[in-house]
Amino acid sequence: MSPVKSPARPKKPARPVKSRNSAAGFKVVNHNVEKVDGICLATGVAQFVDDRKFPGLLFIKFLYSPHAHARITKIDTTHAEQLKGVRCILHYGNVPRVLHTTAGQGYPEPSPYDAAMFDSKVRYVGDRVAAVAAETSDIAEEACRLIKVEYDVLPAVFDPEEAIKAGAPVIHDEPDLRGAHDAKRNMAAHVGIEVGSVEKGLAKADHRFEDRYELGYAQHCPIEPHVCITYLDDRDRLVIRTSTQVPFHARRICAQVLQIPEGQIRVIKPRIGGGFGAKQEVFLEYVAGLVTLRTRRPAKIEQTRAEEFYASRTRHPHIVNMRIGVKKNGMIETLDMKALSNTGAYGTHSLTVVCNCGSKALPLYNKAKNVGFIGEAAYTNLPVGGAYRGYGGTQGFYALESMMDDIAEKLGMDPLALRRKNHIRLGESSPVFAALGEGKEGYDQAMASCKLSECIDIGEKEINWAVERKNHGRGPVKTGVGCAILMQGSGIPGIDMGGATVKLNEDGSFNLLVGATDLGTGSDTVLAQIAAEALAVPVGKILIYSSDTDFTPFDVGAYASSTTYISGGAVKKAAENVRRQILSVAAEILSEKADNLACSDGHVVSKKTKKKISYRNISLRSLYSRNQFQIEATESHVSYVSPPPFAAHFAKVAVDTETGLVKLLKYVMTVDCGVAIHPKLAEGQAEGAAMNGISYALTEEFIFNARGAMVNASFLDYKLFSTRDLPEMKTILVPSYEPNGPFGAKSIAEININGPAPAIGNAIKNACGVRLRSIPYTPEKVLKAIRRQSAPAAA
Amino acid sequence: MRSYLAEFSVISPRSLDEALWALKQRPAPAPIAGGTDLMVLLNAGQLPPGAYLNLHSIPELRRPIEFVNGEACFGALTTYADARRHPEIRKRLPMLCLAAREIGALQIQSRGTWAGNIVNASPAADGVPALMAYDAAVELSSASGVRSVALADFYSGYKQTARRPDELVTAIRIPVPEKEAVQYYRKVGTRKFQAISKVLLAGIMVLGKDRRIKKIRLVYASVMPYTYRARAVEAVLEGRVPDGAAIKAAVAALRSELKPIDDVRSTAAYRLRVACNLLEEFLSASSPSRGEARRG
Repeated sequence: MSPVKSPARPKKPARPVKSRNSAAGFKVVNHNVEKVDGICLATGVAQFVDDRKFPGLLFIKFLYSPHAHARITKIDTTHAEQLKGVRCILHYGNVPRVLHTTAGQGYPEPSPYDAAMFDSKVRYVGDRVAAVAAETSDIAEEACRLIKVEYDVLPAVFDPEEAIKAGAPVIHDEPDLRGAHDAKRNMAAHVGIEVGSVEKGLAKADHRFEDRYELGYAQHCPIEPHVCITYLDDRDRLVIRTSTQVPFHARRICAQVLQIPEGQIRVIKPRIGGGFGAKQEVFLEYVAGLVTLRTRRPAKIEQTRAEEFYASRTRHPHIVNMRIGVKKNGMIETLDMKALSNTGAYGTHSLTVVCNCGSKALPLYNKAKNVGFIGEAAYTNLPVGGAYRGYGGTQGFYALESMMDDIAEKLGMDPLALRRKNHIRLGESSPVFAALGEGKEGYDQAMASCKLSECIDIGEKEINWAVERKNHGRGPVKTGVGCAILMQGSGIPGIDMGGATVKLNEDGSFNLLVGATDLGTGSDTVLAQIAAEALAVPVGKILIYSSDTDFTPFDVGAYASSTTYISGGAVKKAAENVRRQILSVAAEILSEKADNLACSDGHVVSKKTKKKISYRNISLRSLYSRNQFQIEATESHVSYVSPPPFAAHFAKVAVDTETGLVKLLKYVMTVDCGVAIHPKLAEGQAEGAAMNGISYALTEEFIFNARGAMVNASFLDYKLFSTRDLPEMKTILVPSYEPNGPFGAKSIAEININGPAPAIGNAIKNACGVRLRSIPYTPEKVLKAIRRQSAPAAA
Repeated sequence: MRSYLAEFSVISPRSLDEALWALKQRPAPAPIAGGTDLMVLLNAGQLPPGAYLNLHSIPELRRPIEFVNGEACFGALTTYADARRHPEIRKRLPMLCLAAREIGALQIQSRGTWAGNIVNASPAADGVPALMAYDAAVELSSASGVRSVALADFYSGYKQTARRPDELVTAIRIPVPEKEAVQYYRKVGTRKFQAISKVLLAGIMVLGKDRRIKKIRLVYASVMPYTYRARAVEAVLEGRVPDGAAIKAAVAALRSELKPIDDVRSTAAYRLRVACNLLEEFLSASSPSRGEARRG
């Protein structure tokens, strides 16, 4: 898919107007209030998808392809149907063929329509062949084994570089495929931009650098796997109770695939045990939905941990070729990135993730006059990529920030000095913002808040940079420090939209209804704080209800680091609208001009007479006595800028040169996320993301056999970092004020997953002189590199 | 895909005799103690259906750790936690405590047994190398009698053991080593805890007054298809002073003796390299440092 023109944007993009520039004076915002769902989660009262019992529930299990690439020539369900307790079997022969994308993105989705609920062709080991709904999950599994399938096995391709060569097996040859860039070459997506001239810039640079960086598969591993339960309500509408990040997209995609109107579907998101992007995918809900529509029974799909690995969604592996042209004095003049993404068997998020590889990383060094980026996504017969925290940024920053240290070494500069010389600053822009967005052109923006320099300064002291950089210890264990600097975005400009409704109750409390989706991120608390601040009440007066398509306004969902910034913007607008209505009713009661009145602690106060009237009395009057109406407002928010949060990461490692083991000793993060609405939750987001990235950098990897089947699909052999593996970790929030954000806030959800791979890689280089250009930094890889380095000397 | 429970039966004998009689059936029921290996297979649907012999119901097997004639004696149901908590074990057989804390989490340590670790015959067993380095012997009982097999002779190939199907491990005898023995236990895994090892070395070395090696044991896990005592290397070292030349000779011997496995957790090349590095590290630790083993 090539970039399409962005829709017309307003002539004047939103610019800072408020004079406020700090968090001082906030009563609720920027305070560590009690998490609104904290007690109910801690006491186990809060209900997750699977915590409600449904009489007559059917259990759904899948039959998966054992082949990486094959055509199904015959499928015989006779024996399976005869098994007692089997109620419904679905396969390509008995479901409607509606090509769609499982990517839970805005409409029209920038991902190709290349997936069917069930297809006559399977494209990876783990592709779905059939689903069985039965009275118990054991019966459903047994019935799956009884389905007889005959395959015509096709040649498969696992290497993305091989996949896009002429003559490779064509993975998507279906004639009704839509939106893939060039399916005959297995090219799901392609994007290219050039600002200035890359080749000329490189030709006249004093120093040229070129290298290749590789990042492999990883799974999100949320503590709660994908789970959904579907049932019919009293009026035969389909209700989908699901662990999703995107309830409204889920409703739209299910309507599309099941060929029923959106109005016939209600999606409810209860408490969720983490998503990290994995639940921005809609691939189970419509299967359960179809079982319910066919059997009229409630139906449940709950993935096992193994299925989470091989049959859900993963991070897109990338090969990133980076070229940088630098002047003698360290000024970066030319940046060129070529990213090849492996999207696996289906192209979900393929274009946008590879776009973000460039669009998130390249603006960081905005002094470069020449910037080139080519992003390609290849289909292979391997597990399917998807959204994953960092979303291309992880891949882009790995290449960029690893190469920065090599440049510093070559020029004899301190890596921090090189970064200071080149990084983007307050008031500045980058040509990349306008040239490259998510799947299309982006929007220009100037940095209205940026404390990146301060982040570097503070982190430098905290890690004791000057000393640790030169101190490598004696004996076989070498220590070293490294850093990486980062930026991300806050929502997708011109695309992400959130709605919020606020209404006043008799007791002076407010219902806050939002489409935004709390996955354990704490967004219900953060949004309630924003409403409370705007309405001048304690957070306990805000009754938040989120993510129910029947009751809450639309929201694109929890992704792209958008909830605090976009949904929070809508909440602030709706609360301010309600505040104006409250003031006008108070003005009537007090016979004063609304301009002379102010809201304070659940009351309206006259600035002149100091007379007070409570929200309760205002509500009682407007609901029951004079000029009656419901005080309420629904507001929406879209932003044409995407203010980046900034961060500097510092890692201290010990490399055991006898075993290749890398031990992370200390990890320091300094983060500018604007005003942190809830500082503790913000720190939690930062530490969670860093931990996630540390694990990806050091241990997590998918191991495939020659047939393309994952052989370590369990926590026994796929190792996440646990609390016991954690280093000393220090998170420092560096406050700034983002004028475009609600009460000065920017995002923090994703940025910090992007730092560990380059920061730890740079620290390993500093410790033992070995540069690794692929993660994870396993003991095998590290030891091999150390041996290779010392081999010439030994020989 | 969990196994179908109705396909399994469990025999709970009330005495050792009853248990040994039950083991004479064909096919013999598989003994189950802590279940920490078998339950994993059950949950994965890979446990062979059939009869299992519950050892917890046998009073003779439920006995505490004892010290007799300079030997520690574990019963069939002695758990890792039992060993970790035992003050004498901690003092006199410290590698057993180090091994015990490497095995799973606390729940597994409280459930899993040493005998089970031996019989399960995983090449990556964390407990067996320490036992083997201490020259432990396995007592095997059957209806036809009792015999004792040196743990070092217990394995002959991948999952191949000296235990006949009608035999039950009823005791493990572990001689307490000489006071001056240098002990070494190091596990290299993907992460610090709860990870199956890539390479593990348990070693014991006793030096004479002339600093010559009187006795040495080198036991590797995760390198060969079964827990492996590197006898050829031991032979090279015995009688020599562990100096640079001896270490070099030992590493060369180890290189030709080991034929490392290649699997999902690591590569043969890495295992060989690290096995050599661990050996070097162990031999370089010249002073007796009881219980001060390193961990990776």
